[in-house]
Amino acid sequence: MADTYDVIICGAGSGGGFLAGEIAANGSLLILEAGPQIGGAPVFGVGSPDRRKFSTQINLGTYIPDGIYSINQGTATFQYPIYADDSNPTSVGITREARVMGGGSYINVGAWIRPRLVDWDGFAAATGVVGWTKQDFEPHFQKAETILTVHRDTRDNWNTGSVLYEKTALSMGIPVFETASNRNNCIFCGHRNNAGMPCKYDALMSTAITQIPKAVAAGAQVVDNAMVQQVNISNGKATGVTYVKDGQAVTVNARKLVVVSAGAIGTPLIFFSSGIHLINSNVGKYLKAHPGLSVEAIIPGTNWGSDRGYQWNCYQYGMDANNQPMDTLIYASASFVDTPWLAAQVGNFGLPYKNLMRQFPQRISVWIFLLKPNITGRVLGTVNNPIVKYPILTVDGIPEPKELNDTIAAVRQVTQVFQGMGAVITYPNINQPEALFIQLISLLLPAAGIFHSQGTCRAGIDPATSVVDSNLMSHDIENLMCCDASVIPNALSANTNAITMAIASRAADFVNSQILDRGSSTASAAEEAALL
Amino acid sequence: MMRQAMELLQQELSRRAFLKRTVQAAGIGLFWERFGNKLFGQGVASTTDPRAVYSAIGNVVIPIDDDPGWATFEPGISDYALNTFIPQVLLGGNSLVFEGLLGTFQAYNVLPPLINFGTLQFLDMSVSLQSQFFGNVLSGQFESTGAQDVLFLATFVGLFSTKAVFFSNYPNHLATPGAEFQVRPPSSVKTGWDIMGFRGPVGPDEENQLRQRYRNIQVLPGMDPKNTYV
Repeated sequence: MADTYDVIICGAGSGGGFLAGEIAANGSLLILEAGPQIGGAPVFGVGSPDRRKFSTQINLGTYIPDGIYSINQGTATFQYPIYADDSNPTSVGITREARVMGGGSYINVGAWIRPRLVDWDGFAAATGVVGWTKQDFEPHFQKAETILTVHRDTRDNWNTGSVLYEKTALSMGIPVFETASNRNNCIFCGHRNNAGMPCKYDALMSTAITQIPKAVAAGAQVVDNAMVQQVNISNGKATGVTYVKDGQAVTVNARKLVVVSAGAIGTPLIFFSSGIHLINSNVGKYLKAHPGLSVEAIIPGTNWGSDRGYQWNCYQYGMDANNQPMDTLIYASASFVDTPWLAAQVGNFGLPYKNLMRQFPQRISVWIFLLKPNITGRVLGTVNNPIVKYPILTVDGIPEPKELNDTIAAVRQVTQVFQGMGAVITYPNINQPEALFIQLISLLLPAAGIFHSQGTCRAGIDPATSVVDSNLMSHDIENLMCCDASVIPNALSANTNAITMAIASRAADFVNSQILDRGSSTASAAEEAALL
Repeated sequence: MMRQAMELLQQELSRRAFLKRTVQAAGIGLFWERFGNKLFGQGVASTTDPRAVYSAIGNVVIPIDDDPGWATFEPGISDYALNTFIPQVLLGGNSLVFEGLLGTFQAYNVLPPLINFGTLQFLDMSVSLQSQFFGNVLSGQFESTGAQDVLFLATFVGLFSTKAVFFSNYPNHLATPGAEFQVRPPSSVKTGWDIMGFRGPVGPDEENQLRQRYRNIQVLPGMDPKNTYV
């Protein structure tokens, strides 16, 4: 292994992994990943033997509890302390980010949703970022969608509940859209709803089985279980990184570029440990995220407990009285597989709860993500002492007002759809006294946690309000780039899967043309798709 | 008095840091004024076995009726839930928080008579009385006592974790180490998955069937063009 490379990428997830595949042919590249690399050549729809075992083993054997909780002991995730309750500032929970080759792209649901139009305006308004329009990103989305075989399923391959949800919502005038996803030869096992469980069958088109193998084929070196401690900086220039593997500290040098792509929590932590926050106080600030919760119902006479399927077949935005989108994203999967303990039955116990569980085959659920609550969190600490602060609850112990109002509106709308589907029991029950409803929401939101962290090293034109420039290069340190969801300038109206890949594609053009002097690789998308 | 109680806490229960922090944030003044010395100064709570309290909560949450319940799988299920699932899965290996949580379960046992919920400690109550107490905590009926938040913590963690473990199909919740499939061993005793009618993960035969079924299906390329909001 060499001690000097043209480019070093720290973090092989959605951003770093995708970027690696696009630049590896144009210079020497070292990819450092904090988690394990699960081996074997991609076998789409089957899985390599190692990944099949890894997926089976990692899930604690529990396909029902949400995989977010099932991935244990840090095997494939970082577990960051999160302070989500401003009324109890000593109350600490856990939030997670992927820690495995492929990162979040390997353990997410694979839903592929692009930003809303309002997001692009929001990016510019927040930081003045340049070149971040829908038109600018269009070729990058298209490229990523080609490489990752993004598609939708036909109705005959949807889950029963999704079909009924779509039909009912449309009859009520609520727009419902088909969920695109990055899959290839999916066998519809049903476990993708169990987000956090790595795809056993190499059907989820993560960077672990697409871009990273492509980078390796082009000569990139990969080191897994390598925990980056800091970016090494000399005379205002990033010169390399120091990481720890097997208890040994290793320093490697970068001739041209260090890319930090450790996720919206991990990246600012590396910056803190590198002292960059002393130069740019925006590091770790502007944490945006999507608190979420599920709405559930029992619909007599149904029996979709045997459904496998992709599950998240369609989605809607919460719609207001004028039929305009609100800031909620609702995955209207109406599927069987979900948590028996997370949301709906939270207040139930004893035989009533057990009887509810006996009705599980008639139970449906959807997930609501709150896209733009007026909450700005912060990442603090260091690589080895991380802290995340995201106050889902205010000092009064209730959700922030917009968060609460959006939640109530979305829960109400979903409940109406469920009732149109024939539901007799719905949770959370919108008909209970408002005080109790708010109390329940205040319990559910922090319990469910935050998702889609973003914005902690956001891109912008002004070092006073951002960490990196519009091309993701550090304002303050030469030869240093961020490439992950941390650069998203403002709250996003979608999960971060699609845009992070598009950001990486755009970054690759910059790296290839401006740093490696090799031009853009955008034109090769069709060739890459053919190779896959 | 409160200061003394806090000092006692430090002396008697220094390892219960989480409990200290929890109640500090939850109206600690009132709580420690009333209960600090009684609970901890005289070592009353520390004689309680937290696993016994947790086991009793499991029995309240998932009782035995026509089907197995929490107690069917004792003592293993409480050991697994309390000593593996909670610290590793829920708490992410944070031993300090876990120690504090154990202290909270101990307090859960001795608090009822101190807040005038009858005369019995939790473990001495009948199951129906335990259920009533549990429900009262869940609905926030001990706010005026100053002990609500401490009680609620134990109740919520107990509720959350027992449901998760039981309906994750204990004792058949883990795949055989190194196995490529999680196999459900035949058993005459119903488990959580049996009760809820869940078939479990895909096995070898079903995997082949699914692959055959979805081989060469037609898909719709790209994004949904109907979404004009993007």
